Amino acid sequence: MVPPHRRRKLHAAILSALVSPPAVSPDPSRLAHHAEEASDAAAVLVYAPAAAERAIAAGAHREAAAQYARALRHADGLADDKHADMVSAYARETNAIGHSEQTIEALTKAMELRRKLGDTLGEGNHLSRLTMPYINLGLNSDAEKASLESIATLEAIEPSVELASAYGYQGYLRMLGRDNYAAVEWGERAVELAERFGTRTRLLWG
Amino acid sequence: MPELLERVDLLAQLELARAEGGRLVFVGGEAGVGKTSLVRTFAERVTERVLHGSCENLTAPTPLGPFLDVAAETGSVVAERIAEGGEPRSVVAALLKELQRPSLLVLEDVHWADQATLDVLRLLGRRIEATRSFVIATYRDDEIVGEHPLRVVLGELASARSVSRASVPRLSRAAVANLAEPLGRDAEAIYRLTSGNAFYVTEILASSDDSLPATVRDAVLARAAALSTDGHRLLEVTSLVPVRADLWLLDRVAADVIDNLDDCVDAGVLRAEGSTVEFRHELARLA
Repeated sequence: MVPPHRRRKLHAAILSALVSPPAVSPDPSRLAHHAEEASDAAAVLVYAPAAAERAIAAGAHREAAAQYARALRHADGLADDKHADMVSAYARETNAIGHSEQTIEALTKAMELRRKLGDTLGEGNHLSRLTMPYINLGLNSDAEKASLESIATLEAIEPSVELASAYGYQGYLRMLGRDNYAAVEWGERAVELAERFGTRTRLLWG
Repeated sequence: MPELLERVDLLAQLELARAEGGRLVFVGGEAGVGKTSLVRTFAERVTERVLHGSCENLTAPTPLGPFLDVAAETGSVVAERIAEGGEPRSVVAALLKELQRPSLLVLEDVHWADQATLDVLRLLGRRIEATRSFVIATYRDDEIVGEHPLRVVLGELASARSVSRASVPRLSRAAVANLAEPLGRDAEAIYRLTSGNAFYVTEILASSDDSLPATVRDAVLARAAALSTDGHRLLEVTSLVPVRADLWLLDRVAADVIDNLDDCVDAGVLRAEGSTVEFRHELARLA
């Protein structure tokens, strides 16, 4: 009913009214909606992630994923590290709702951004996180490739919790391949390394 | 508004469920078929407190939106639980406590519910029996196709003793005739066009024109066409605020045209309720 040019302006006016005092507890989901309709990228990048965090707290992963997707539609001007964090957060939420295709796409993007930033730990971490969504889609050879690459990447730097996690994924792959001996061996390496960092929780992926 | 036709059985079904104690009924039907009218009529008949919550037609609705509405109405611990993060179990616990006081809780349009709201509904359905309240959740049955998350919830609750379903059918040819003939309108033509969709029928009957609007949208626009330019501008602003707009917000964004609110209400396009304004029907907002 409302012509596009006026529509955008009106959404901007609504957004500005909603965030100016004495507005009561502005709801970030609503603000993110009006910000996007107003084509206000800066506002979207503030409110959409805030709305996503609130959605995560309530267990509303579908809505969290939609808010991160919205933020990513306006992420052109974002610095690479911020951008990578956001793609990574989006991947975590799409994974939570079982959307493996989107998860793979996002993790790959985050991995590339981390590589570009020279952040080897981040690169290897995102590579290893690709293992499970590939398996979920039955793409086990892609999972194998990502897993081995992540181990090679992470072994080139000092030992890390992320490497322990990568060993764990490799162990899981061997288990799927009915190679029990290797599965246990990788699992033991994962546990041993994780314990050096005083944590086993990173091994509880799923 | 014409009186509610052909809903006697449905109202009786709801009344029966309510008499059984803590119950949750899902009321399904297509958009505009008259779910809200049914629930409103039912709510007018009950003596207990009536609480409302509605879901929004957004790609990413506010998590627990309908329960935020309820929290605003009751000022209860529900609000605190949501403010703490809104973990569904703690929200349900607070809600069940609130529902110990006999209430009718109406949750509208749960086909648009966010994931956390669905989690709450799932738990609520299993535990509503322990309360003295009646919950009605409306949804568009024609929108929950495929792997729609609400379908999963309905499936899971199918075995719950305290949960049932009701379906709002379209109006029959006879009912449309009942409405159209006193106005000297061509009942058969209206029935053929609308298939008995109550909102569509109402919109057509509201237009004085003899020519029939070909779509619901045309019918809605015909109603709005009688308004002044300023009235239209108020409709525009209101249509951009999902579900319902706070008066203070319209006051700020549309200060110069807010005086036209009464005209818009009289024309049957908007409905003012308390401190909020909404379209008489979500179909009209989108038209």
